[in-house]
Amino acid sequence: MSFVVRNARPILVFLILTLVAISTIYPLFFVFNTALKTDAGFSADRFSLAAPATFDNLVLAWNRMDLVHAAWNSVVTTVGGVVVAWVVCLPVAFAATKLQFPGRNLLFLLILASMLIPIQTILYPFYLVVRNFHLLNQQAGLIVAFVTFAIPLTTFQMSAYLRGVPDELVEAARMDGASTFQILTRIILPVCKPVIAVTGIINFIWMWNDILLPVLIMQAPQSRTLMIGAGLLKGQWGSSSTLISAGLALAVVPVLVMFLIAQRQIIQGMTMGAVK
Amino acid sequence: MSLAFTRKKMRRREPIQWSGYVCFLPAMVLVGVFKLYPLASGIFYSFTNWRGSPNWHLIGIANYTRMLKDPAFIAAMINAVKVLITLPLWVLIPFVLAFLIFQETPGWRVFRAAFVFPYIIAPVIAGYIFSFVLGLDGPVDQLLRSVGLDVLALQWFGDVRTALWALVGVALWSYFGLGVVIYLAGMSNMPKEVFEAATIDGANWRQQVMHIGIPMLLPTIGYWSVICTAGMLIWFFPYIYAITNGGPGYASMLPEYYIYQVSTRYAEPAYASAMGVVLFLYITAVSLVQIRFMYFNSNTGRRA
Repeated sequence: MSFVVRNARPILVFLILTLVAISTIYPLFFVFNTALKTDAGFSADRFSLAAPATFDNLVLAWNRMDLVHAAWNSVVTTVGGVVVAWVVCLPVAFAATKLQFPGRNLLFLLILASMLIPIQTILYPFYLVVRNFHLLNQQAGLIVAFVTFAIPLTTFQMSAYLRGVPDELVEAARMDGASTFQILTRIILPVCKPVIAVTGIINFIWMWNDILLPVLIMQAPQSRTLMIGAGLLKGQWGSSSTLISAGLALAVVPVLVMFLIAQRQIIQGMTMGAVK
Repeated sequence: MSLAFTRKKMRRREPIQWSGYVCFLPAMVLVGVFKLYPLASGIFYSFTNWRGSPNWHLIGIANYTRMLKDPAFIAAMINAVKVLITLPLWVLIPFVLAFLIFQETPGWRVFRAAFVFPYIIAPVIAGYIFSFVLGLDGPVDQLLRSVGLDVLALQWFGDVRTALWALVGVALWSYFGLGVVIYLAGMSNMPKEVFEAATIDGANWRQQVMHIGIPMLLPTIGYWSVICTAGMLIWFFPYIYAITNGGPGYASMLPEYYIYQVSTRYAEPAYASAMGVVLFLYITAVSLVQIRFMYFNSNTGRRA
């Protein structure tokens, strides 16, 4: 009796957590399972395991979604966005935490405060600026947009990390006659590897997943990203659930890989400032 | 800590490091050109009747008064209030789950990973997945039928009564893991001994949560509440885009999606800009609290 009472709570807790975990994993499992089924198999029973599995849907989706093009656009803009965000934000974080000059705190506050302007608040005026720079339907245009909206959080995360790096490191290098640029590239950059990884992964995930900036900037068919392609799935293929699932499954793979190999950094990044 | 600390240092009359400005330059240019200028010009457009042609003039606050009479905008605002009313769910569900994990349930790392999982799935894709799962005769409806709850086997996104709440459910599914992780970071700062002592004194689980957990976590709870309050008006776009398009009727229309529609489909930049300004004022009011938190409390980053 006492054994039951003593163990009832942990078992109940375990059950609740398991149920929630199933609700988070199952929907994507459902999509992958559906993607591997034949149409006939899917309409016979939606829930059964896809056995034997067919890869026809994946192949068909790859060809029909013009995935090569869309995937290329997604890869270039996401990787470009991640790298340029590093290049733009690390110097700001460095200057904000390790250099002394008038107006520094004010400038830093301005950078952080630009978080108050999410794209939804400036939708059309922003679109106009991008158009006036002839950046519509250009990979460079989307990269610039990604970086602009990554600046507040990435800068914040990097400076939070750099606050923990002793100033003596920089001062010692300066005594040795190193220039600011040398300090940045030879001292700060290597020290910042962990936070560079975290910001890179967090930016990769939201840039890869984002839909509003791509929809705004990359409307032409040849410049669509994977997410725009995923957004068009329904209209294109009517009700072929297996084919739509295949398209979704393919679009989610890169981030899934990221999740499997860099979970620690993802969780770290989520706790550092948390919002885009 | 940062401000007081650095001011003291500046007084030591160190030479000014001009290269600091160079470091800020690229970021300032981007923020200036692609955020501040659009914001300023958006505010200006909002007082005009500009529709893309060179023929326009200032019309005062007509765009703003028009919102008050625009049924779609009113519907969007009422829906926004409805969404905001769900805030307790957004605050409580992750809190309870984080606390259950924090008790070091066996396999807690696996649970944490599972809860974070929806956060990394693209919202558009999550939207599509749920239009399957919650669609007419989808798995959820079949489950409900099999246990005799036929009344609840609805077309969740196609029904005026449920569309908005179904969207809230999907967004909550995507974001609750973020809350769990933020709470866990806060909880990892709590000394374990306090709970051990409380257990020895005979405090039960509920008492420990109410009298120790919540008071110690108030800053984290406040922080996460602010994130949600601002986020709820800017997180829903992809779900609406992928699932309901604001419908049926205006049942699931929210301000951010209506701004998008007015900008793109109706091509009324001046009116859309005015609504953007209203959204900006809301987000600023909510987020100033958050910026303060981030600026003065930059050591949150090391909690994890």
